[in-house]
Amino acid sequence: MQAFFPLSQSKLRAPARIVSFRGDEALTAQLQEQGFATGETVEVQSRGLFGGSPLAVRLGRTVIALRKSEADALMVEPV
Amino acid sequence: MSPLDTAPPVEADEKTVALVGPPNVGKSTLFNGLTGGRAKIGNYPGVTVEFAEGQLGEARIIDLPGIASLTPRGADSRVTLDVIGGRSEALPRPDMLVIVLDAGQLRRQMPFAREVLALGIPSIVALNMSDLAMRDGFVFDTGALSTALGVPVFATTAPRKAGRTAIGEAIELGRAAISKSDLAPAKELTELAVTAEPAETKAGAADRILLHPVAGLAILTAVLFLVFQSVFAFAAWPMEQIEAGAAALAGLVEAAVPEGWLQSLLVDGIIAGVGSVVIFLPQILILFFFLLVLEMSGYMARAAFLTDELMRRAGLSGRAVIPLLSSFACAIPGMMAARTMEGERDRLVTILVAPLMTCSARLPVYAVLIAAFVPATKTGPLSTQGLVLFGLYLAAVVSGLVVALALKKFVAPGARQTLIMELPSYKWPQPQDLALGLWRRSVVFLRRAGTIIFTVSVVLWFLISYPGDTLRESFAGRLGGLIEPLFKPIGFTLEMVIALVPGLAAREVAVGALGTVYAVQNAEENEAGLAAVLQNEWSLAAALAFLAWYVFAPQCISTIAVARRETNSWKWTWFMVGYLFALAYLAAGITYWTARVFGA
Repeated sequence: MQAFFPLSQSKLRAPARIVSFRGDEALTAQLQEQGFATGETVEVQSRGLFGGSPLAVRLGRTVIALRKSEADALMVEPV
Repeated sequence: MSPLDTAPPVEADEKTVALVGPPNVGKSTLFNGLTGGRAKIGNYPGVTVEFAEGQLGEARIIDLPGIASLTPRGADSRVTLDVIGGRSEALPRPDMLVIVLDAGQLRRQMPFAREVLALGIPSIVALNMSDLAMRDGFVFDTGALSTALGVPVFATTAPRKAGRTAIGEAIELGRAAISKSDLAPAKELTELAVTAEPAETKAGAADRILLHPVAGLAILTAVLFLVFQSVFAFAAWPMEQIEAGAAALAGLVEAAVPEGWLQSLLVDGIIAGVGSVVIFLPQILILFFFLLVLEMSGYMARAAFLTDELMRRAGLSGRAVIPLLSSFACAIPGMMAARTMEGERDRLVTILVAPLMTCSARLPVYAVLIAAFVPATKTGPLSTQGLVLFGLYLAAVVSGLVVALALKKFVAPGARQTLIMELPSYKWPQPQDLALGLWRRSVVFLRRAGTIIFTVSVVLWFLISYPGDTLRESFAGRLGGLIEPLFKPIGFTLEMVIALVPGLAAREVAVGALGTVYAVQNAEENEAGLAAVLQNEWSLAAALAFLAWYVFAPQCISTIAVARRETNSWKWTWFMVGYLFALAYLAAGITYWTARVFGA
């Protein structure tokens, strides 16, 4: 099994640790502004009905909505 | 002790104090608490779209739109950055900043606080909603954080007075300080401030259901549906009281003032005109009550989450959901809320579509026609009138999505879209905030009824009453006659056309105008409400056409003016007005002729 995968493919309510960002710089900066950082633990809480987008992602005590393309920019590993 | 006790007070002479902080940290509630709610805010309820300004002792307190960093993201955050950067024309550079953070999210928000402190403006840090965080198991050491930052730090509880006294005093006494120049990394600062933290909280059980792909959407639909049902169900009693009050007032005037032109002006002009609009205040307040509750409780962001993918497929940014939902109250705050959107093209499309959302000023028009033409029966357990109203709202949403798609494709293509939106934790709406929001809305509505609608009623009464005995002979009839041919193909009668013209200023004026038109015409039997009169006078096809017209027609001077200001372009403003009138004409025509075919 692959060790790293994009957050968009994470299982529901399975904690995962952020290992890296991919995608363009502007998007990375915007994600970091919201508190996403390598080493942080995140967890997908819910997915939208249509095409699995957007995703509700828990980060610490916050829940942040990300579109699938945005969640794709976060590479994670299972905790 | 912390260094704040020795910091020299800033000059106490009309200081400007700005509240800055990320969105959803309870900033506006803290602001309302500090200023006692006596804020000067345009006329716009809901989200902080412009700065609100209030007074605390000698200090002028300003509540700025939320920002997540010092990088501009949308026109809204540019307002905040301009003010704290001293580049704003409307406001001086603040003498003091109150940096408001969510106590329960310090780890996430500390980088922001550091960034703002580095600006070198005297500051105070508020760890807001600390009561909620402490209830969850957090323990804070404000003294340690204060020492590390070199500025005063307070744990505040936005809604309760006890949690605001200390910070209020510090602001009044000018206790702010400029932070140290060599701040420790955000992570260290957070560890100093938070001495105990609960184990990672499990997701709220509520979101498991409310954000569930299927159940969540079903609940959202049910919530919106209930809102529109309530607008009819709960408003009936107060509306009857207002109607009875207006009739009693008319009776008093008839008894006190001798029959003649003055009595006619007072009863048929003013009481009938203004009264037929004021009667909708209960419905508007009920609608606003629900929208404010959805907004304040944090459910609005969930609605945005659930509908994002649909919006995206229609070519709109996910963030457009909140401006568009606000537009159901009024397109003006809706258009202004679009300032939070990053892409200029996305923002433009959102502004152009916002007037299609069914604003509360359409409610009087819909309500009077529904009351007249839709039987007050039940369809299953639901009121038929509520169903029709829901259908009109649905028509607005569908047309909005279709228009957005067309605009994206042909008029304003391009632009990267992002969602990245915090789903704030659920909060009980604060009764004071709710009451304040409703009060502001009532004032705006009654002021309009007292000024524009009052004036229109008087002028219209004159134009209808003179000269001659019939409507067609009067000034209004002759003026209406000029444009009547334009509207004849879509089934509008002379009375409807006469009501439409003043209704160009604001939609609900049309109801007042109809009130006056029919009161003057039927001076003898004006005890019956407007709905009953319309039922006799209008064909069903014409009424449906009028409703269809109102789904689209951009009949609101304020909205057009705000669209001009927000797009900064006459071209786009006229484009908006043009396409909306074209749609209105088409929709009314199609409705009229379809209804005629079916024998209505």
